[in-house]
Amino acid sequence: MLKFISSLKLAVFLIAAIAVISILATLFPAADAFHSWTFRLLVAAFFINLATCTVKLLPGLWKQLHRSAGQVPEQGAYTGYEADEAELTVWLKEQHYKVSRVEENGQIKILASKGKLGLCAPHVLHISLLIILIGAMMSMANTSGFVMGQVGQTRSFPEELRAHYGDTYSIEILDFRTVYDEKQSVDNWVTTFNIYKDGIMVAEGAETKVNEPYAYHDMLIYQNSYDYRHLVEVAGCADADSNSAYGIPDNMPLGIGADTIVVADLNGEMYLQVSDHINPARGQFVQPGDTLSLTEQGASVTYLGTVVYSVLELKTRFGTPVVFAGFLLAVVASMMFLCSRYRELWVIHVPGQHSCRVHCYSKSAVVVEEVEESLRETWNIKTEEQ
Amino acid sequence: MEQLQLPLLWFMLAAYLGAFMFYAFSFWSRNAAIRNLALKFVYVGLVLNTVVVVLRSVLIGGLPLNNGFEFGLCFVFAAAVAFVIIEKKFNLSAVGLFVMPVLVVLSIWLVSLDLTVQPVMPALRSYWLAVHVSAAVISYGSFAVSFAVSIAYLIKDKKQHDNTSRVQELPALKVLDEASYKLIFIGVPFLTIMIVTGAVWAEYAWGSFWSWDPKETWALITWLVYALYLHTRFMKGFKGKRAAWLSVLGFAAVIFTFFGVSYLLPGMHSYLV
Ligand code: HEM
Repeated sequence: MLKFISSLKLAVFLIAAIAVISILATLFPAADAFHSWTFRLLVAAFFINLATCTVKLLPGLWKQLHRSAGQVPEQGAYTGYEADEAELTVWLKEQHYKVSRVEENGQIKILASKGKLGLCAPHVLHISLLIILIGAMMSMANTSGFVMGQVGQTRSFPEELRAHYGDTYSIEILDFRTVYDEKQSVDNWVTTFNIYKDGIMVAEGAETKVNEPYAYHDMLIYQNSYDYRHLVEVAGCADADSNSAYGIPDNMPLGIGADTIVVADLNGEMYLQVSDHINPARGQFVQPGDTLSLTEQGASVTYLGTVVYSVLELKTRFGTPVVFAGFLLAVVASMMFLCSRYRELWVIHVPGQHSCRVHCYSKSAVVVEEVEESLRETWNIKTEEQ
Repeated sequence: MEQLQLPLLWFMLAAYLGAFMFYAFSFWSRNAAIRNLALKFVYVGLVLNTVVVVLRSVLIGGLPLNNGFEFGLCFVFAAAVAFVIIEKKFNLSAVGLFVMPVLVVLSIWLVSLDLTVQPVMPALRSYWLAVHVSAAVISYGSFAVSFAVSIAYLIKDKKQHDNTSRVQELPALKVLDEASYKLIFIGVPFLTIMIVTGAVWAEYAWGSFWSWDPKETWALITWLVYALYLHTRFMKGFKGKRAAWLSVLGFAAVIFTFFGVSYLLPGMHSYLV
């Protein structure tokens, strides 16, 4: 049973199954397959398969890393080379092989190995995948929420995060600005803010921008987006809230009495328009303080100005460091694959003869061929193969 | 200088197309001398390709990895480089017959695109992007050539017992199999780096290292297909023909990740067009 659970056959089946479900999930997004129990079970099975397989393989890896010359087998497809053992050893060391040597039964046996990083690479990669999966599981507990505020305002933490941090935190938006590059295209959006806990400042002048979220404890604060509100005040209208300004989004109608009020940002100039069902729409470019009359006798609307809201996303990052550690290990493993491939040379030499029998072992036929070629070029092959 | 891009691209396309035609002619006429001429055309195409890459870098003042055109340009470049290297190592020139169509089709797509330099949106202004896309370019380049080698394998395999067939001009099946494996063995680590750096970047730019967006998911699918390729090799009877089919399938996933997702499925990664 354990043999099956840790088997390569099961691995191939599970990888194929996860691939097939993923394909279907992108074709039918409404089914939300990635959050289904079937998919989670498959991933769990994959985790167990990989974990047991790794545990099973590690002792063998350890043994191979610590093999000594005494374990060089005497049978095998050895090829003869015109070199004595001392010369060959010098050459192997020049080629950066790690060489171990024993004398037994009137023979000298040499084990030379190179590329141990490559030997470990699959295992390091497998372990990194396990770590990533553990971190991903942990990060399912994360929550996120939005804070939206205009410059100068103080806002409490969003509902979703209050469960985690309590009621005590708030954010004061100090500044929001758009940064341009030398070609006058938008480079970034930046919000500066303070964080308070129980009214005491715990982070001062913190800055968040796209691609560089601000880290506070186990939370990241992102520059999510921004939004404009045009402030207008309506006077002398029965239907309007008295003495209060309306903040209306750009180009969105606000109905007051018989009228509809719209403010639009036209290339940085504000255009205020008033319309009702009877008369043609009236409008003009406005500066703060400009007033337009409404349909109702004595009623008017005053444009007060435009304020910008910064929208921040707050996210807990439980498990993310674990995932990132796994990522780092996966990159390290990838480098290990790229920079080294494992090979062993088994050499048997009978003292007194000016020749050796050599066998190259590697999982890759290409590597074996390369090694044999360099041996051929350096040392003549003896004709007979044993 | 912006106007120079298009004519250079056309010359590059012509060189790759010329290489393809000479490969086809040498295959048909069983003439190795013509095959050498075809390889020279590949080198000319590669030089022109390099010139366009450098020109584009100068134009935008950085690595040309920001939009679909720039990525495609580097993709073609990486595939051509991968072919030239693997051709030298395994003496695989005849496989150019199958590599060139990939380069030609991609180049035709490139000349159809808007080549003007556009400002880059803030979320894309990240060092992670440079690493992410560079890794993608190298892995996709290797996979493209591995695909072509596998196609050669499948065609040769079909007629291997017919001694009169032209497929006998192609390298031995064992060599093709090994070459394809070698290419995938280089492509997979870079694909891993691509997915990992993409995830880190997504965490910083969008607040989530993985959100099952279609492009992400398809990159994962590609990775899984190549993982299948590598693991089935340890099982009996999976070298050769079945492995070649998996390599073809893997590259189909690459192409779908690159084009299919951008043109057919909705998602966050809509920078291609
Ligand atoms: C999708 C996830 C996986 C990836 C990306 C992956 C990656 C790799 C890679 C790159 C190799 C080296 C291949 C070669 O040398 O040609 C390898 C080897 C191997 N993998 Fe995986 N693997 C994955 C999942 C698994 C699972 C679930 C198992 C569980 C049975 C497994 C078992 C093995 C074994 C037994 C080897 C041979 C190790 C050796 O060289 O001694 N892999 N894997």
